[in-house]
Amino acid sequence: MIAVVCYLLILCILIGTIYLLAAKSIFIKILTFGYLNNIIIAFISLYALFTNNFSYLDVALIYAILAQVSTIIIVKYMRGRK
Amino acid sequence: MMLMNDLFTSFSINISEICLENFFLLLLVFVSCAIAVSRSLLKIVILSSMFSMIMAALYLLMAAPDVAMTEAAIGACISTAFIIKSMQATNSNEFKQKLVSLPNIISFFIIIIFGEVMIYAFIDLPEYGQTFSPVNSYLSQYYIQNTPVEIGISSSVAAILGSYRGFDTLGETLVIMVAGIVVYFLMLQEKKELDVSIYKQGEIIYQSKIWMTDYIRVILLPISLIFAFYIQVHGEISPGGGFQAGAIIASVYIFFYVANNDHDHDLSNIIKLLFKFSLVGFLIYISMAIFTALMGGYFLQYYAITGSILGHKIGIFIIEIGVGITIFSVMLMIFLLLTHYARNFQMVREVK
Amino acid sequence: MSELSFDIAFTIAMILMLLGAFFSLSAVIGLVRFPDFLTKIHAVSVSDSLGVPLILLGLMVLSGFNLITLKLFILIILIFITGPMVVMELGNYYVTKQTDGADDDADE
Repeated sequence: MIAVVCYLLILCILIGTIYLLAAKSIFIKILTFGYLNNIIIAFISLYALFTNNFSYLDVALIYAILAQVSTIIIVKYMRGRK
Repeated sequence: MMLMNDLFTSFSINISEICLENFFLLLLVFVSCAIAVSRSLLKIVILSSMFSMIMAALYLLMAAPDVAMTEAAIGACISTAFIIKSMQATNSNEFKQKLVSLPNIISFFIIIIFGEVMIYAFIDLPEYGQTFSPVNSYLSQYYIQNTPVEIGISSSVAAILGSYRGFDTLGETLVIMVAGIVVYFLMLQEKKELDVSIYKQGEIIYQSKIWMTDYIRVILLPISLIFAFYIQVHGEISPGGGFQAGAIIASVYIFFYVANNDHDHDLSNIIKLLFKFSLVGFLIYISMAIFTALMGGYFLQYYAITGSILGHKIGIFIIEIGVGITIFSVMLMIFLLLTHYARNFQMVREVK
Repeated sequence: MSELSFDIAFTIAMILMLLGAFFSLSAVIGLVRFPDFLTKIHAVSVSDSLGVPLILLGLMVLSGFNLITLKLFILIILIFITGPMVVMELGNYYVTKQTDGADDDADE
């Protein structure tokens, strides 16, 4: 059962990465980047609970805070230039 | 949780982990090719941030949570923020060259040749995860067996970082502090004497309203600070320590400044305060080292603080605090210096 | 935690995680197939609000009642609050930008 969830998440990561590389517009790239970050956070939490290393959840928390922060910085830069 | 052990086992490498690692490595190859081929700087920033994220997930699959945490903390926010601010502080007329041109073709062939030489060189290296490779045979076994006996803390990584290889960490903190000092003296200029009304005409319309990031940053900042202190203090037990905590605090304050709509705020006072902070952080590290020498041991021998193993815990705790303060102040100071410089640059560019 | 494979907590957690994975997959299919940028934002917001939190909720059910549940709960709150904020910033910039933005979409 866990293998089905794992397989679906990996399919999402694969399709998302290929779309990140293939999209031409910068807006779609930033959107896909934000989506991929959330999916990788879910994947890391899954991996952390299923291998009983609960210190990996701290890594997922840090990743969550900082990925959103970096996306905001990019969008604010795009607003600020003329 | 014991039910799930049929899919993953804790201490051996089986086929599912190899498949996952190979999948992420394949994604890395795709992203690197896209970075090499892409022509616009903003797209390269996003793609390299994605590269850092996939690397962080890969480090977790290879059972290195400390490295994964540091990669996520620094590769995610700090390097992206620095590159974006540098783009704001420089001229954006990039020299655009065709993809298929003579210098590009020559460099392509040179890189192919170097790649072949490297592959020929590392065929002889031991396989990934082999038990009796030279790395795993002597020194790793010594560290793993002797950390609870000689030093008394649970995390071998913190023991190696703080005690067994303490001089390396001293050098790293010194390097980061020197980088901060150099950028400070290069970029701290006074505001140029210009007509302020021309600058105010360029304001964007949405700044007059209260925006949603003003609400969210009020709650994001305290939660992140508490979590960063947790990571700092638990460096001896779980993955963490001074480097990661400093990077988190610096990143959240960077978000605080970026989400700020007040563009006339003078940053010189904060920059000078952060400069003194970075010196204080390194001073804490050096004071602990000199203190151990004064108590009768060698330089950086924590055993001499109390004459027992407890000295190691006290010593590593205090130097992690010093490292955390240095990293936080230097990262935030470099970001604010780049902002300060970019504002001067934009004011001059608008007048011309 | 008992030794049987099919007790009630495991079943609830598996249902939640499968739903979460299904919503994430539908989000990425929507991201690829919708025509315009503003419609793609609708697809991605499904993942931010339903996809990832449902997977984490399933993991919370699976891990009992200890510190791990609290950390997962903080993670869910973070993604709930900051995820839609980022997407809305991007959408707002797309709608209200005053320049042509000619160098945003260029492949050069």
